[in-house]
Amino acid sequence: MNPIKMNDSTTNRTLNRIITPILLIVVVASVYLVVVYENVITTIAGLLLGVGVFFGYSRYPKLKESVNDGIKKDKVYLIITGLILAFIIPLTTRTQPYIIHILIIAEISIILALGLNFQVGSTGIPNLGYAAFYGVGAYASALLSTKFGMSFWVSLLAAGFIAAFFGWLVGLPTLRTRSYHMALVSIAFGLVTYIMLNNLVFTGGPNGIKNIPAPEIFGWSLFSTIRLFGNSFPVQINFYYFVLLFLVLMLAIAFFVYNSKIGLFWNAVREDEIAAKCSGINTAKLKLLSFAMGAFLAGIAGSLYAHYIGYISPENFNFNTSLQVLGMVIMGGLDNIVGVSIGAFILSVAPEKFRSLADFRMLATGLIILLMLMFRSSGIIRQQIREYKKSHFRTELANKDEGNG
Amino acid sequence: MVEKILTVKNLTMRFGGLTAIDNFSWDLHENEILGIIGPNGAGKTTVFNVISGLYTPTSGDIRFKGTTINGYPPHKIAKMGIKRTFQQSRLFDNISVLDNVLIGMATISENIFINTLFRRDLLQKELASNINEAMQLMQHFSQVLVENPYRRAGDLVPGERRKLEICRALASNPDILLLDEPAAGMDPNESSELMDDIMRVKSLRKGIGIVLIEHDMVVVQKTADYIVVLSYGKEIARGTFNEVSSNSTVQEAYLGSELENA
Repeated sequence: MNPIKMNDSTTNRTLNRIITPILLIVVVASVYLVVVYENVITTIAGLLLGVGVFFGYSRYPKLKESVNDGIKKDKVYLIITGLILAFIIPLTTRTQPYIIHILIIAEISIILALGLNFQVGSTGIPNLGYAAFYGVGAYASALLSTKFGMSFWVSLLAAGFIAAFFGWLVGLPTLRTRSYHMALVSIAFGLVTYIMLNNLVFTGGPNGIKNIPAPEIFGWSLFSTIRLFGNSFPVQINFYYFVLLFLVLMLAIAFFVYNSKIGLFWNAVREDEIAAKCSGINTAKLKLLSFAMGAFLAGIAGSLYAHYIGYISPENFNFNTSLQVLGMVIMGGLDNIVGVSIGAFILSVAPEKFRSLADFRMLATGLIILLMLMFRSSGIIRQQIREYKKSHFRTELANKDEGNG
Repeated sequence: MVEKILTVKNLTMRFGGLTAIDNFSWDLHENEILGIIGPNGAGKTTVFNVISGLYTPTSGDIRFKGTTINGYPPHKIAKMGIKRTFQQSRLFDNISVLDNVLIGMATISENIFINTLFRRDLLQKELASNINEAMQLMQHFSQVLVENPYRRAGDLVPGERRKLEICRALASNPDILLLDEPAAGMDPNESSELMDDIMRVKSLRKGIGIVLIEHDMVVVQKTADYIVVLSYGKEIARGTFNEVSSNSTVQEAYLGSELENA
């Protein structure tokens, strides 16, 4: 019948369906222990739990196969579970606004990393000036709403498109440069943007922009406290759900693009540009598209950040930020959306959790990246082979011998 | 009357002081296999690079079905229906076998970008038919490819790589296929398999014109209908295999002039 061998014939299906949720619960529990409790013992316990699961997964091929199979089969349930968890977790920590703040920053970081992944992961163009797009988005949004009195929604969209335009602009030199040279061009762009933000009058120079208004939904400001059943929730929780909405949207876009012709063409450009050209792919157009789309996501992230914190300065968008986002993408796993999201989550939460180490906290973050690259250089979840629905193969090869009509 | 699909007229390509191709002319007809042979450095691959748009010719004219295509960008030429393979096969190594072929197909797809976001149903339908077509195409060439559509293209053995490259090129139903030394590095068994593949291409895609650059004379003899011999960028002979192989200029170019003294 179907000559395609899928790997479900050998393993026990019921077992697979149980193992995956159990492992996921353990992973979520470990993340919860690390993120929520301000306590060294729980942090270490959570880390050990997480690393243990990860090692078990990568060391035992049987377990790995079971989990992969389970994930494939129950994808819809897992996504729903994930959404429910993302919805519930901040409610359990409503007395600790700081934890929710960390989670919001993590959400914004994930959006950022997804955007950079279009270039670095999918298309294979090095970009070390990504924070510039983030900055352009944040400043565009902040300026539009403070100086021109635009509403948040207009500013947000404008920020996305202005950043996308800048992305397209920076993409132009990439058509002529490659690898190291491209990296240099992008660094230069990042530095130029940083210096401009620092020196221009209308961007407020080093002082940045203050009093950026909070987003309003039908006249209701996100800075107002919600009271429900006698409980009052911190304002951060409003933002958490608000940004979550955008995160889910951006994740959906990223998945759609990955599974579309564009994702495929980007990969072709990454693998071999000349072969891509000779296959009929307009590589110039696709590279520019990857820059513009990545920058669009950065612009949205920047706008969300600006309106959440209410204050931005050039220091938020310097070379360090570019490197951090690049670290998230590489550590998470190039061209793997789930991996990149996990990488962004870890690298944005870790520095906050290491605050007790004071001056050594960046050292600890560096150590995580170093260990990661030593033991798993392809990232937390490596780049996957695209698999298509089995049903797509169904009618195939019925007319084996006269398929040339 | 068999139609001409590709006309190369007075093609000249200079790199600085070096003339890689000098006043080279030939036609390719429907259903024809044209062999371009010549010693190393004769400029054969340069001819392909010019036709596929990677180089812009210094002078001369390349006409594809009546349209002059020199100066067109490579992707446009490929989309019009001229596909090629490379001497060192250039596959998209880190993606799957199936995706390599799907890329070939997707380049001629009519689906626009906005459908990616809003018309998933159209996309899925197209994907399903493309996958079927890709599997059928691969079925003609290699069982290994069909059985392992999800294998990394980079993990294939050289023979399979060559086949996959041909599949990728054929995926978009081109009018002309340019094969750049497909038998390079193959043993006699593999190259006889390759000859079958070339003849299969001809029977699969009716009317396709194939240009073949090859060093393996057995392959050329068995497949090419017509042969042009190139030496230092200049054409030195043309005709059927028997005609060129008995040509003294050709023998001299390949073996050196000492042969006469021997």
